[in-house]
Amino acid sequence: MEGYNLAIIGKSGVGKSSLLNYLFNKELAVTGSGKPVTKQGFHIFSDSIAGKKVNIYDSWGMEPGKTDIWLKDFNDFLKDKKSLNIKEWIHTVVFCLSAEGKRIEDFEKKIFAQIKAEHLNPIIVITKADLDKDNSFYEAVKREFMTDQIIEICSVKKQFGLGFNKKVSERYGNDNLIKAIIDNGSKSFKNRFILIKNQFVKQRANEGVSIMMPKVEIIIDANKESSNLLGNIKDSTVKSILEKTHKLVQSYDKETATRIEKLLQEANLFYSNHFLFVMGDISQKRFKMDNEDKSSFLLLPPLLSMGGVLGSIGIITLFSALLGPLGLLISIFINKGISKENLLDKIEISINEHYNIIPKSV
Amino acid sequence: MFSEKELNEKFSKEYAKLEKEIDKPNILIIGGTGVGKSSLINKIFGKEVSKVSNVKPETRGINTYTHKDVVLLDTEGFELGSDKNTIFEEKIIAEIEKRKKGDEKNQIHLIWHLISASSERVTDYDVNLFNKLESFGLPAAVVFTKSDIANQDSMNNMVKRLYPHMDFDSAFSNNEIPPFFVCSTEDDEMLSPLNLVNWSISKLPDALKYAFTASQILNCEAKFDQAKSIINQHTMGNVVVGFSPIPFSDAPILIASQIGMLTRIIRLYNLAEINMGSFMSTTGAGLVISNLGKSAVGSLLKFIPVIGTAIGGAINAAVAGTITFAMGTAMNVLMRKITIDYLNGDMKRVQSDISNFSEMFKNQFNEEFKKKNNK
Repeated sequence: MEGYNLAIIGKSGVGKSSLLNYLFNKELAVTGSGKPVTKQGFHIFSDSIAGKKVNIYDSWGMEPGKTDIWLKDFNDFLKDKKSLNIKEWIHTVVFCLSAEGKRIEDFEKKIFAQIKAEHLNPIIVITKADLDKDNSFYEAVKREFMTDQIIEICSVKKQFGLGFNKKVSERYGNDNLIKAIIDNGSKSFKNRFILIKNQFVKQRANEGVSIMMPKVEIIIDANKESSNLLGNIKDSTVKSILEKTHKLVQSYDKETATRIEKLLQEANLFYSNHFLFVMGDISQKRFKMDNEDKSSFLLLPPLLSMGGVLGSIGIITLFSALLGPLGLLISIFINKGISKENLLDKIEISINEHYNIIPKSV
Repeated sequence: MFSEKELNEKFSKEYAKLEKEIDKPNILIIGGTGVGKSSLINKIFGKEVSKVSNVKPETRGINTYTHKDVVLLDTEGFELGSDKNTIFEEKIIAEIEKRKKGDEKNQIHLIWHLISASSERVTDYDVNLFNKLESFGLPAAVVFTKSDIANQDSMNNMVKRLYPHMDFDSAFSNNEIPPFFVCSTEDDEMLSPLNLVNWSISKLPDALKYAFTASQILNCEAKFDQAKSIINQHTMGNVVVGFSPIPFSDAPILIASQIGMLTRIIRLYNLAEINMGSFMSTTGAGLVISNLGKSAVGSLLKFIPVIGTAIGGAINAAVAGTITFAMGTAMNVLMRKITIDYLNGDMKRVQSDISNFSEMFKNQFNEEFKKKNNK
């Protein structure tokens, strides 16, 4: 899916669909009143904002009595938005609070915290902001959510007042929101990238043993002819098996690093292609990583260098770890060698140690 | 004859007794967070002088407190969050059912179901609750709050959720009161909760009308009318007392009965700025009242010699009734005047009315007495 992905969430009736239409300047999402309008789920709307393709997920609003299903839907929605494919990500989350009710609910704070924990760096939009005349709601939101990323918006031109006094609200605030999305994009990306990279590194580490051990067994079997009289593998052979195992781990880790690097490159490309909305009064600077950004990315611990990818336990540590206990073994079993099962066990423990994983059986 | 001090004490005592014995209606107030519950309560009953929360914690989810002479069962607003809502719903329904089984005093007498008109939504939750409340057969009113910032189209759609066959525009512009109330706490006459107040008074059993009328601050005429019926009750009471001619020297008995009436009238107006318990001594009205009976009868005897000669200086039933009526009406008229000034924010006038109260009362009494007597 092409385009910059935005998700709009909030309580029923805060004006999520109206905000979407205001951002696209088109009546795409069905808006209305009376009952909750947007059906259950997260609905994608694609259009352009100032010539750039943008996909907006309009969500069904949270409502009393339905928060459990909402939360489940929300978690399902987030689940497949953190793959290594940056195009699938949610790039910016817009969290709506309405100045109409002027209330902040614990549940909203909980969801906001969850979004933050997902490193999604949400922007808060105060909808129907014309009703927050004394700015008291703005201040309350700032205090309760501990954020400065708050944009006040009025999405619809509407007449208000059922009595003698009629008022008309004018639309305003979408240029500020677009500006905020642009500012927010790079911050969000950095945070999100670290999360997804760490998640990927962890996944690779977890899978390490099960992927590599069958290969280790093949290596051992290929060297069977060098067994001694007891049927044990000779010390000299063990050494070469360990060297081959080391290379195996090394290439596995290199693969991890390569894929992360590719992700970073894709991200660079993606952001430079999608990030800029050319707006009349909005800065024309293209999104690209400047030197500072670049260095901060390169400094991320396990990113581009092999040692880095593996974190504190590097390749060299692995080698000595492998040789350490085995070195000791070799001296004990100098004449006896080591059985295949025993060697497999030792190697498995060492690989797990390399990835800092404590085997479940222990 | 009572001394002024004695009389003031009697008033204070009577007032304390009334305060204790007054039958208070129970009003259940339902509404989500942000519907503006407390603003509406303040608009109808005035800002709370002292909000006394019920100490009993067993009804969590419902805060019960006395506001002036009404008991408000203020539901904790239903909000987002997993199990909170079912608990909330069970709490309300359970509370109503529990009270239904109990005695009359503890019944829910009125339900106000508040929905924010400007939220543009009536959630399924509200619809369910609405249907459930209907089935109880209790006087329940849907109150759309914040209508000053609501939108006409939205309102129409919201109303359709609860009353599918109703058209908001025609229902609202009609002179008849629709089955719901459209309110705001802004100063917009069209959106005043006055209709809700009147509806509530009409739905309450007679015994509870007094407390509600006394507590609300939106309808001064309702207070005036309520006072009239109190005066009538007491006048009739005096007629009974007067059946056997009361010797002139027994006028204080009459006054003792009138104290009850006057106290009830004063409390009806329930002005927050004035300490009702000591109203009589503050205004010096006590002294005036203690002399009124006597002077009124005295002047009466001069004008209508027939009575004087026929009964020989005793107050007969009709005269007793007239005195009581004039006292009550004088008090009612003056209290209304002060209340109107108070509600208009004319505190200067309120202060001057209070400091000149005895004089005004005396004049008003004489006027009412003459009027009644001439009939």
